[in-house]
Amino acid sequence: METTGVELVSRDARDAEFTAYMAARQPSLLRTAYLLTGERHAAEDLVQVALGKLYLSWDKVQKRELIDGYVRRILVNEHNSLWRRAWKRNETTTSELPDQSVPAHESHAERNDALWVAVQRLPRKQRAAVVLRYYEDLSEAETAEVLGVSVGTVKSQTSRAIASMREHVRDLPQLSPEEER
Amino acid sequence: MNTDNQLRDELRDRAGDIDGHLIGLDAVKQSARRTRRQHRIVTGLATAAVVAAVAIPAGFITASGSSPSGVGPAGTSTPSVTPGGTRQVRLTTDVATTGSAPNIPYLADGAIHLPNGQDVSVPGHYLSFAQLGDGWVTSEIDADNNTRVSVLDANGSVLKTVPGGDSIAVSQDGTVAAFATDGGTIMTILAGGLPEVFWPSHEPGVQPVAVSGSTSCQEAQGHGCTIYYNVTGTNKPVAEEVDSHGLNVAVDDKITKLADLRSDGSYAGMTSATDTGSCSAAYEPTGDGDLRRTVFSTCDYTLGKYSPDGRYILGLPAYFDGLGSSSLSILDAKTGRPVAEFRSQGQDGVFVSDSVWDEGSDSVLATVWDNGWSLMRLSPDGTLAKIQSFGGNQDNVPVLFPARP
Repeated sequence: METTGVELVSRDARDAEFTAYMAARQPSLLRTAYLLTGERHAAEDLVQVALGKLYLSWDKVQKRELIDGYVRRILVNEHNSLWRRAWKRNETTTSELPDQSVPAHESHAERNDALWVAVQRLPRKQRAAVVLRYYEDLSEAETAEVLGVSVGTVKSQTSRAIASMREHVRDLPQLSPEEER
Repeated sequence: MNTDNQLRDELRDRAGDIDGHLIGLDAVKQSARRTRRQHRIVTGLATAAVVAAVAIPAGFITASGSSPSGVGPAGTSTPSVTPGGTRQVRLTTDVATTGSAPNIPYLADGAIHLPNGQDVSVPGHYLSFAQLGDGWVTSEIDADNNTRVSVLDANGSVLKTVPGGDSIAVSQDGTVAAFATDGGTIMTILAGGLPEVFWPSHEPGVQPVAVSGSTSCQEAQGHGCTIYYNVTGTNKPVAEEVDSHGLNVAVDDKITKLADLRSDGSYAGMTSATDTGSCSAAYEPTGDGDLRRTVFSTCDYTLGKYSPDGRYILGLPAYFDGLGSSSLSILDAKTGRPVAEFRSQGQDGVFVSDSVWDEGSDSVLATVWDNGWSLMRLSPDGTLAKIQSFGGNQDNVPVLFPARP
């Protein structure tokens, strides 16, 4: 096997930079991936695929401060894409889990469990919007950028998600207009 | 507590509990390689071995692969003609017509089968190959899951192996081949020679599409080359070209992925892509400097290679997944109008894996899965003919076509 010296130096430098980024950001990416997938192993797979894609693009992302947003976008798109491919193969999977309404008047812990279940029941794009808005604390514009949709779509996706979760967790407080972030 | 805070707290609590194992760089690189291969497969604009590769992810050729099970015409697939003159043909391998043998070499059962009837045994599990002068260039994955490129002599003996990707492009006269390393260095091989560095692009996901040049790429010898390639490993794919001076420019600002470029300056490629479809366009030079005009654009097809005489261009669906294409169309290269469409019926699971224009004819050679693999010949007049049937499963495409100019 032969590799040019120039290429080796360049590749080593790139790998070192990429490894440092991975070490710093991987735990955070895994947490986001977990919220998107709801399952730890699926989250790890998702992060690995996303990092693989980021690795391929590493030299292209000139502004290093944009990398977090870029990899977040890969994460969300890949998650939606994996689901779409699985759906195409199986043609039986749906975007939502079967409707299992959570009874009202649960304890706080039960209600939190119910809330988590409700988040996982959301269609993937709505769930992504909720994770980016409520966990990543992104603005509507930033969320729209990551999802590759308009701000209006982010608003409607988030609104539908809240309404849907409220259906499943009946003692969630009414969302007042000013709470519509 | 309001909904905002409840949701935020719940998500943070749940995420805070997660402590997965850290992924290493090797695993990431492995994932990157898989992504690159899938990208090539899914977009169907691969340069390597095919006009429009839609190969199954795991489907590369094994030297000891499936064995032919004979030619077996059975039924018919009669074309119907639409008011627009398009011949609509059901894509199936259950046809009565027997096709003539390919006029180009193809790889199956561990050997390259030549048009003259002779076979050249070759080692390896190939992703792509091309004829270069009297010899061959191949690409495969090694034991460490890296792709490598080998130069073989006319008898199939390996002369040299170097790191390199699976996209191989060859010049019109078959005397210059190009490929790229993982690091984005474009390499050339001259007929009878060994790989040489042509240009270090330092870009990930470089896939050579076409080579302009002959015999030598040395400007000093009056034989400069230009390599046209796609950069796919980024969030903003582009088609670029670089010549022997190292002058590197975009092929066309409109093109995000070049499908083919002819020696007369015509070219076609993808102009945009979304999660659900894509648009493509074909262009030709106006003869006025660098100006070009749009011949046609389409969001109904993903454009592939031009036919050898330039009359037709291949059309695949604007969107399809990794299993392959459920249809293959032969389009008029001047209008984009479909001349013949070979389309599977509903959910019958029939699909095209790889396809390539045959030499000296208007017809397309294709590997088609229809509860078994068949090598088929598809013509603009709607003729669908079976050349040969193969055993094997859906994941293992038994025939590999060569990279064509």
